Amino acid sequence: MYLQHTAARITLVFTTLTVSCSLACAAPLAVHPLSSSASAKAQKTPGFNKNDAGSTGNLRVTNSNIYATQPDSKRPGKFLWKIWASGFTLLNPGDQITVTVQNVSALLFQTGQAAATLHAPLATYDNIKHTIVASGGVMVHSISEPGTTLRADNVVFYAATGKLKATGHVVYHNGKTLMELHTNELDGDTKLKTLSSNSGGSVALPKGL
Amino acid sequence: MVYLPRTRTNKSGLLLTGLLLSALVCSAAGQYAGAAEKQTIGPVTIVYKHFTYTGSAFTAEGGVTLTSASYNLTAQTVVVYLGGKAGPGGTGITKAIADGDPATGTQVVGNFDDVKLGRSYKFYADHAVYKPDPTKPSGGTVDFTGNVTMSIEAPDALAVPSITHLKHAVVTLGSGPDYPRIDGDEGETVLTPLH
Repeated sequence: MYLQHTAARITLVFTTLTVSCSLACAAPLAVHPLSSSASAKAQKTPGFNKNDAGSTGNLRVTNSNIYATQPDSKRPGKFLWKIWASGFTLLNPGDQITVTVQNVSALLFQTGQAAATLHAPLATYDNIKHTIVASGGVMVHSISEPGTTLRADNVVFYAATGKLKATGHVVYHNGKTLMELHTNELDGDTKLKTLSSNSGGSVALPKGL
Repeated sequence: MVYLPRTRTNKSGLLLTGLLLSALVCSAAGQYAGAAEKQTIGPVTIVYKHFTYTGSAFTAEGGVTLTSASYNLTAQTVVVYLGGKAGPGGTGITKAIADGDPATGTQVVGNFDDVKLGRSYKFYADHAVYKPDPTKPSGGTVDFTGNVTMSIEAPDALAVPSITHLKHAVVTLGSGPDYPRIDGDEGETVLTPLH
């Protein structure tokens, strides 16, 4: 795991995280705090022992305003995602790193290409599953399909496969056909070009029959 | 304007249906002359259980209901192909294919209602294909094939709904008093005039 930051106090914490994360992370995760404010701090979770921090990674780190990127290990120089957020919490129980961020704006990549932007009040990154779980009312805008959007209560981005899963009050709007789809669960690629749903729903085409 | 079916066939039986129907509904037609023109093209809503979309086509499966300005249709599977130049209303439908379920014997059912006249033209078939008419913004055809049954309900003209069995029927959609127009091939019909 590789970390970039300017706050010396955080450096110590992330150095510890580097040890545990290296066991599980296929690709390094770069976190760039946009603010080196004094509020940045490392907290011990209950039961934390500094002697086993490296092996168990039982840590919690909070900060505000971050920019984080996930390089694509299969495509040098490319990314899986980039995130801008105001405020984050980093949990490191065991080999798992869970980063929860608020007021998220993210750039999602598919096969090395920027495919969509995502905006959500809350998102959590899981380094084991390589997922970003966005919640609280999520909006996804396709970059390759202008005007095409996905709105849902929750959206999961599977970084390794470039797939999305939207759940809860899902509304898909196609910028070209103006097709609008309503369902409760929708799977698709990050470009929002290929979709499927097994939960039932309706499709509206303004230029009909 | 009103919309009366024009039934054409190469067999006298079905042709008789059209002639009789035309004559029977003729008197009723007059009272609706001058009414607002019916919108025969517009938004279409498809309700489905399973759905896939690939960018140029989508497939709705598991029992599908399609409702448009011109008709409504139920089927086991509906595949809609999208294309053409994107305009203010988006790209259009280039073709739509509806199928029943041979395993269960479920057929495609298409309803063409004329609410103003209280008439209903219903088609049952194994397969149906919609194609828009590129020369007419609100025009198009629905081609029914495979064990086609046509039922016409016209309470003002028929004592009971007429039933026609035929191999192939085409419903032409459009704006104006001549639509929807029904063309059928070889078949048999049972017709019971009201008077």
